[in-house]
Amino acid sequence: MPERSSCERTTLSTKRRLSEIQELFFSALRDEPEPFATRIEPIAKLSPQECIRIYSRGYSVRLTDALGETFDATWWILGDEDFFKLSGKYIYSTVSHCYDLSDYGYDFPKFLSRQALAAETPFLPDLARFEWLFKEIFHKPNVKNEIDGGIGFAENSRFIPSSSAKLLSSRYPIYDIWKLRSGPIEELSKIDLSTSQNLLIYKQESQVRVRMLDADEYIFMRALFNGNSISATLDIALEASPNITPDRIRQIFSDIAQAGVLLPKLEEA
Amino acid sequence: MILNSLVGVGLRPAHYPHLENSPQIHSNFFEAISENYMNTEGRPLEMLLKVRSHFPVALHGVSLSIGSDQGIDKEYLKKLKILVERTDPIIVSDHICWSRSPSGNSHDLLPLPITHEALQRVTANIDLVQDFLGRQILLENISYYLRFKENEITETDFVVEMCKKTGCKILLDLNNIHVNSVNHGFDPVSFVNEIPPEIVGQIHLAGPSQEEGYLFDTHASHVPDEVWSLFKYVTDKGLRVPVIVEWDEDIPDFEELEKEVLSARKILLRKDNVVHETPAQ
Repeated sequence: MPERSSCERTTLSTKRRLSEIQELFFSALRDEPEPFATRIEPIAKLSPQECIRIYSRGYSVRLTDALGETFDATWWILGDEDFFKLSGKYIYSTVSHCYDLSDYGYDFPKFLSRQALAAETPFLPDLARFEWLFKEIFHKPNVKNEIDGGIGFAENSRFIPSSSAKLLSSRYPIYDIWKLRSGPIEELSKIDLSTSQNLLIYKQESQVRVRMLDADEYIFMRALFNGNSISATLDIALEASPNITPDRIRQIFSDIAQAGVLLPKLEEA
Repeated sequence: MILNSLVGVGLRPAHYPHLENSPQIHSNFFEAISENYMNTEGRPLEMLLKVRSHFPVALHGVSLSIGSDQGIDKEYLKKLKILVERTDPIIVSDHICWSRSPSGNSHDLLPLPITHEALQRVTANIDLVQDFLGRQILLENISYYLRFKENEITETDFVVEMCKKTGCKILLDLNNIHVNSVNHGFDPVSFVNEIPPEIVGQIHLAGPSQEEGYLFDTHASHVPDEVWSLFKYVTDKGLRVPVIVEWDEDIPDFEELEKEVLSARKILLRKDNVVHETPAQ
């Protein structure tokens, strides 16, 4: 490596200082205060470590609040002690990289599925997944109804799902559980946890709407959401439910059209 | 509309239901936290646009991270520009701080070392932001709870030089000056005197919380006497810029918040202004 002049060395060392301080400060927020503590002078009668704690506490509180706001029902199920324990563990393992605090917690449901504490409550990851989707849809624009119930569409027509609509299938009645979240936890015992649920979450007239789908309706909609043509969707639906009637198919397609969650896919020229 | 006589409040979700009923409002304008409206088409944005149809708004960001050594997040800037175009704000502001590093986002207003290197980085970032937005921005002095051993110049010299080099202005947060003066032990009047009035574009008023051994900038209380005194002092010196009262924790009902607006307006309209009155310590 060629020898650098003293001027160049000074420039490089000076240039490194700001980024180095910012890296040390960020590490200090995440429970590594020591190298940073030597670079600062404290305020009032506090020690450097106590000053750093003002910031690290704030970091933790802000991310915990963000998780709590999105995963409200998950928090309700876990209770304060376990929620704070799990969120603390998640925050330690997961750094936020987006400026938007509400974007924090994308993989919290997956994280929950790996925790022993959550294993006692097997529906918890699905409930958290539902809450994440609900939050996402809340910030989306309203769906626009652009299809007409199937009339006029050829068999090879395809659709794309609106960004303001999501499907979710769970082995547990997560929507019923979620609706109880403002009441006493004892209410949970009234729910039959062996019931599965297929849900369509979408936004219409500035409201997030959740529709429970029958099994055949879910299969039909999932096939369309996955980009299958109408005829391929019919094949998939018939294979899953051989006794489905043409009237039922018409009804399902009409319901999907009314929800406005599918947009016609323009064929490439 | 005379911008310099505007007194308003921070737009907060807690007040949406009240504002939706279109009550009689004393505030002349509202200040919205930019990030709350940049990634949403939901109710927050609907409310902001509704408020904007009746009042001027200012956009006040917390995540621009103007002091990041890695530069400005371009995606953030694009979204901010879209919001600016949608709302046509009278002011676009953020803070003299950093929050983003290659390791992650702190979601906090972290202090910068007050050095020539940091000044160079901040001014380069401001130039980029102002060029991209095609307008002047304001930057707020923050509260901070530590100092860097590397500090080379005073905070006020940093601020003045920053404005001189970039043409941006200062959002003078009098509560932050009060908090810092108590925690760091300096005279808030001297601080204010070192800021030329012509570089101040807006004022913030708020109330801190007393923690064990230090004052904490929580925006969780009434504007304290010390901050009112500083406000009287700067207005007596002739400073006339838009004023916002901030309240972010333990938020009172809107009428209670507007009492602070009326107090601020009363001070602005005082006929017996005494030049260079010294505020109570």
